[in-house]
Amino acid sequence: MSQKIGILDLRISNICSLKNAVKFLGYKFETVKEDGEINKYHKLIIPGVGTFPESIKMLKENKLDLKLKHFLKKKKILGICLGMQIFSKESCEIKKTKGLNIYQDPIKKLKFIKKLPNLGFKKVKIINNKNNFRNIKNFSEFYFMHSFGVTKIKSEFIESVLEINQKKIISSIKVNNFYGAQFHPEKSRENGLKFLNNFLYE
Amino acid sequence: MKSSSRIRIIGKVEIKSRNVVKPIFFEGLKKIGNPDEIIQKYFKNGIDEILIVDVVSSLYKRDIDFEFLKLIGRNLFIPLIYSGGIKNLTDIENCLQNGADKVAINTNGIKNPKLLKNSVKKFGSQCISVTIEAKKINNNWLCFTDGGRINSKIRVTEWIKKVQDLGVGEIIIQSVDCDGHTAGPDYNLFKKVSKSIHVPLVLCSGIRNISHIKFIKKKFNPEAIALSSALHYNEIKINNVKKVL
Repeated sequence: MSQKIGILDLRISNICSLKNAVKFLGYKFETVKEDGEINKYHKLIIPGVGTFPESIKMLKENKLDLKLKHFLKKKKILGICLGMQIFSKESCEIKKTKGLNIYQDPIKKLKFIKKLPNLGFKKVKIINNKNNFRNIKNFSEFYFMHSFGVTKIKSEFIESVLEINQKKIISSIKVNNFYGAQFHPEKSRENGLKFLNNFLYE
Repeated sequence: MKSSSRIRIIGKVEIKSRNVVKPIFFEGLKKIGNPDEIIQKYFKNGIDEILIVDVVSSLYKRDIDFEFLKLIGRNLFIPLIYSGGIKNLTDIENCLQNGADKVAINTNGIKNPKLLKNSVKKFGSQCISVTIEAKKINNNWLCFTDGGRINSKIRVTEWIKKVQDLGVGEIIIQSVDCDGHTAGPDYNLFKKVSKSIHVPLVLCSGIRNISHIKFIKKKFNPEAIALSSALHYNEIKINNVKKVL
């Protein structure tokens, strides 16, 4: 039986770009709206873009916060950009808002970067090359587009980091079944496609 | 190893009726070719981002051609910014649903600044850029709309302050008098704006050779430059630009 892949459509994300990348890699998938059934999928991807309070509000209205947590008990989720951030303890974007608390660290504004948003292709330092970074060279470039992020987390969760002005942004994580990427693999050329493929490959 | 903070190179691709065109001084369109082929070529040659500008959608109040956007985004694995005729939040949502990763707004932002405020609140700063079409009139830099045709009479410096207060994530500076022209970029305009901008800055219009780019990097150090004629007419190679940025 082939795996079923779901892409969560919160209608404030660049969902089409993600669909294009998954399609290009040759996977079959379905998009699932906020009130849709997620349990039938084997893997779920949550694309980024949008604001933290807006996304959490939409999740809660549909009890998706609880459903996603339940999903993670047995199955894998990849959260991209804001999709990674909503699984944190909380964020200060616009107003302090509680997240899904899969990792107990807050999302902070990246004040040490002179001009926000942090935009562009940046070289990331790969800490763990066994999961989504399989066959990707250290210091490969990935595309970033964000003003907020994780700056500190348990070292065992760290998959890669981005260093700017001697400070660290946690650029990707793995917390049990949850995989998070602050960068946009769907917009990071061949490296990003490899990263997505590593997550999707059964 | 230090993280890269290289200046980004954006390919600005102007579109009219699904053709790539190049306006000269924002007028007198010259047909360049097939958008999908041209954009794929820039992507393969290593461009960082693509900015699509529908040059007539604001002026003629046309609906955005989402099907076209979808076609362009299909095999493009770098960020795609859409600009041209964005009127409301639904337009932005539809852009994102059809292949754009960000949008850039000029005309309707000037007419209705609330659009900028509300779109930042909904989609986040990183998704909302502002394009400025600047033209010097009686020693004042003023913002133009509708593809460089209509004088809003708003001063560029004033507008820059305002849009930053509204929370936009990036400002793209274009010069109506230099765009598509071979006389070089408008360094006076760049000088005027670059100090007052504290969000990522994109400099554009009239950048035609490597020495222009070297000078821009040295004097203004923007976060990005946008090239169009220089790429369309094969005046510079993206690889060579990357070497100097």
